[in-house]
Amino acid sequence: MRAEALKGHLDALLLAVLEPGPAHGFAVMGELRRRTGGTVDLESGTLYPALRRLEEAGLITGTWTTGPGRRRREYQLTERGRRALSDERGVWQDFVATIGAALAPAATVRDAEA
Amino acid sequence: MTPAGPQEIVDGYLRHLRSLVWPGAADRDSADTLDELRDHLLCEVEQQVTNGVEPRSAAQQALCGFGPVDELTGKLQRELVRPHLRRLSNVLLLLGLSAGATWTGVLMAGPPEPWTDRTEPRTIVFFDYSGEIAATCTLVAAALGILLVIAPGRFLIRPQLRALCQRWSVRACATSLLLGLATAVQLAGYLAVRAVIAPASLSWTSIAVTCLLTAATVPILARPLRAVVAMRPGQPAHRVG
Repeated sequence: MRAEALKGHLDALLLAVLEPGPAHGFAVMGELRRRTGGTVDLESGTLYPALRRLEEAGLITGTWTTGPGRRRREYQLTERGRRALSDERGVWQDFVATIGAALAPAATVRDAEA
Repeated sequence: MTPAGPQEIVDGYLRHLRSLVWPGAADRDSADTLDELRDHLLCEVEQQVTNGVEPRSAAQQALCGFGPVDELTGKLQRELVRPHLRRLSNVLLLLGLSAGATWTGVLMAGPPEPWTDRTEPRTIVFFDYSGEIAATCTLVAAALGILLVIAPGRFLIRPQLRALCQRWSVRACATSLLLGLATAVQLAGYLAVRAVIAPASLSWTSIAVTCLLTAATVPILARPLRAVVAMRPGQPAHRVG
């Protein structure tokens, strides 16, 4: 799945990946790939500008650590980021419920009403 | 000659990227971003080598994962230009306010104008009013530039809207800069006309000192301006052969 298909959801996905704890960019990308069974395979050129954007919005903070012989930047959610993620989850669940109901095959709808 | 190892391949790519993203405007921000990208690429190489891929091929594959260089350049520039744009708007506003206050103070503290409202020459009236309007618009445009670059950054708004705000912020800064220059020209015109009509009505020492102070602020403005021009959002991305 390419970045275009994720438009509007990428920020929430990144926040969700960072929810359990701090991670660096490469780990974020790997975790996103793992969670989606390899379906979402971001280009790094999409990931880093998005992380910058989230940092500027105060939803994540970045800190420098030392990796294997080199500098490494790790990101973690801020309180504001946790609230934003919770809001995004709510919006997404409403969206899935509404569109799911509208797209459901007619037989399923009749069964549900019966 | 030994073929380049994976680290050399990665570093060569990053040098190239640096020359595209920060043409002549490299700073600490660029070093941080490049360090972060380098860590990512080397993580990718290490993972692939662990999976049995030959190191040089692993480096090439890691670079492919970054996507086309011109796309990456554009995306990075759009994000990285924001701090410079914010700095430029702030500097424009602060310099506009301080220059306006200083020049007003110098003219008010000096000898009184050698005319009354009735006898005031038309050219002076023109420079007076147009200068005030241009100065006010300079400050308003600079404030708008700050608002447009800061406000979208504080919210999770759609990237398209954010990019639009950023483009308008650049326009607001350019407008503020041009109006600031126009104000300076009008002030120079006012001083020249007044100097011809009544040279003794001006405090030349204060004016010379204020001119020097105003000129000294140019480098403060030049730095963020150079960075924004070099990383201008919306300019066509550089093609890589």
